[in-house]
Amino acid sequence: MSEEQFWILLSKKMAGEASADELKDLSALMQQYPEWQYAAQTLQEMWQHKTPEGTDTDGAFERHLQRMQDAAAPPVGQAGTHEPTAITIPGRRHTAWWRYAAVAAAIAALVWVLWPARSPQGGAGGTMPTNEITTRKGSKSKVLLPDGTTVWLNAGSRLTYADTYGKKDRTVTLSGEAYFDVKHNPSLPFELHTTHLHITVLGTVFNVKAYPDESTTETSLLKGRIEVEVKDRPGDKIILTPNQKLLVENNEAGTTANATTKNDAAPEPLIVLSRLKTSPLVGVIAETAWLDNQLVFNNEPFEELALKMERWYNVSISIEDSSLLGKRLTGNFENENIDEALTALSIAQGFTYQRQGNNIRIYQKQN
Amino acid sequence: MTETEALHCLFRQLAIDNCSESYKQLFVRMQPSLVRFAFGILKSEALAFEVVSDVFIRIWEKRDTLQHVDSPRSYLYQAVKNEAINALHQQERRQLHDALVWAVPAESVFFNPEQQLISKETLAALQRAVQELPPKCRTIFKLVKEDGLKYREVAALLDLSVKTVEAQMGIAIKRLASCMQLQLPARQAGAKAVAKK
Repeated sequence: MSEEQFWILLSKKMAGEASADELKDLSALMQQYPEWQYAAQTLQEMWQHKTPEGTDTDGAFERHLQRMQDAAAPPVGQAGTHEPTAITIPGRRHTAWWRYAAVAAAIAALVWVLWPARSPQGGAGGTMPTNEITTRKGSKSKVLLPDGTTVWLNAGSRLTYADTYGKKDRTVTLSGEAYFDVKHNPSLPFELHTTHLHITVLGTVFNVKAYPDESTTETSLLKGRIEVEVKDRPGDKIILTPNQKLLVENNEAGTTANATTKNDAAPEPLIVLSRLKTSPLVGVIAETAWLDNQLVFNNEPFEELALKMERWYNVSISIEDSSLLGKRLTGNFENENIDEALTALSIAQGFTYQRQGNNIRIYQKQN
Repeated sequence: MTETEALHCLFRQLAIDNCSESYKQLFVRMQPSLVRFAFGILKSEALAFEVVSDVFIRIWEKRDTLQHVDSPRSYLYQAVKNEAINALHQQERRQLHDALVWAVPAESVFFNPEQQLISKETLAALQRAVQELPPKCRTIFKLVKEDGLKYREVAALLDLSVKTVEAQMGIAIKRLASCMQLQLPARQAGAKAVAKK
């Protein structure tokens, strides 16, 4: 019997799924693989411990009751005379709940009233309270905005919008990478700000990559039409049509050069417009592959790939051999963990790496 | 009384005695892990909370039918799954979410830090190993270990075969065990040295 079988049987035993025969097989295998005994025992002991629950389940329950009440919204004035609706809970000890719920609602109302007063600029008619959604490295998040616009936020990114979003405006700010599916609304255009760009849309699907630690800002349009304004060149609007990608260099120096030269032939690799390409390896569009949990790289310098991997796996990578930095790589990772990914790269590129926790050092193989 | 028996008991009390205290207990026991499960599908905490809350509203409305439920745990997870998928449909994101693997947050898998047999480093290595499990594998592992679902219940919930669940659990356990193998080479070397003498 194989080693694989050993792990399958061990997990079945722990989960209480193993039959008597399988338990017998397992102890036979245990003899065969004495080196796994320690790990197997420790895992079995740890299996018993479950995640301790937070203490806020009561709070969650009150919130739930509040929703239940809102959902039912029985007509006013009928409460005493009619059979209670399905939502009123005719339990034995129900009085306490409603008192809690009432208190919770009162507190919520109080906080809501106090909130604008406590906000420093509130009285001056300045910025409204903002909502901020952030993702850590190694994780992604899906956000549904009040107007029905959906945003997928890639790792290590931040999206903010004011409380007026969806009512007075549809303005969001992004640092990092996100994929937007914007609800169509011609009377209230959707506006996106990054450090270097300003994008206006009516309703469309697009991806923006604007990480502060990267040298370019990328905008890829999949559906609809968007208008991009580069902040350093106000008034100069670029219209994107589907399957186009706009690359803007985040270089501060380049902008001053641009301001002084009115010549069209000025040497400014500032803005590049290209078409979205389907990656030859996996048949997906590289720019949006992250939505499908794929890390795709297409003829990309190792230095940039390392940056992507840092965000993807939440690790820190230092490449200690300058000859490796500019090496161009093509490929994709889907289910690989960081070790598998590094091993694959190291074999292909002939480097060695050392990993200590989340820190990875990459250097040239010593001959 | 095992956790499963306790759930059966709560379902029965809810169905027959119309007991509101049982309702609260059921919520307190099951809501956190159901929310984490829903989060794996929806990737939004607020939505996950709403979906689970909706399921519990439905549970209260249909409480008189609950006594016929075979496995309360399975029933709740299946209901949350259906509700969550409905919520996704409403957002017209079908093409997208199909490709996205459900991934429960890794922090929700727990190892006892007071465990004396293992060092801090090993504990950290274990957490990392859980985090690095492929999403589907991690979801299966979490449903079995933390939520106590049976293999066949997990298989039904995730539309997989029981064999796949077995194999994925084997992979998870093997990866975790590898974190604790560090002491081994020394021990083996020692054994060899002794043998040579």
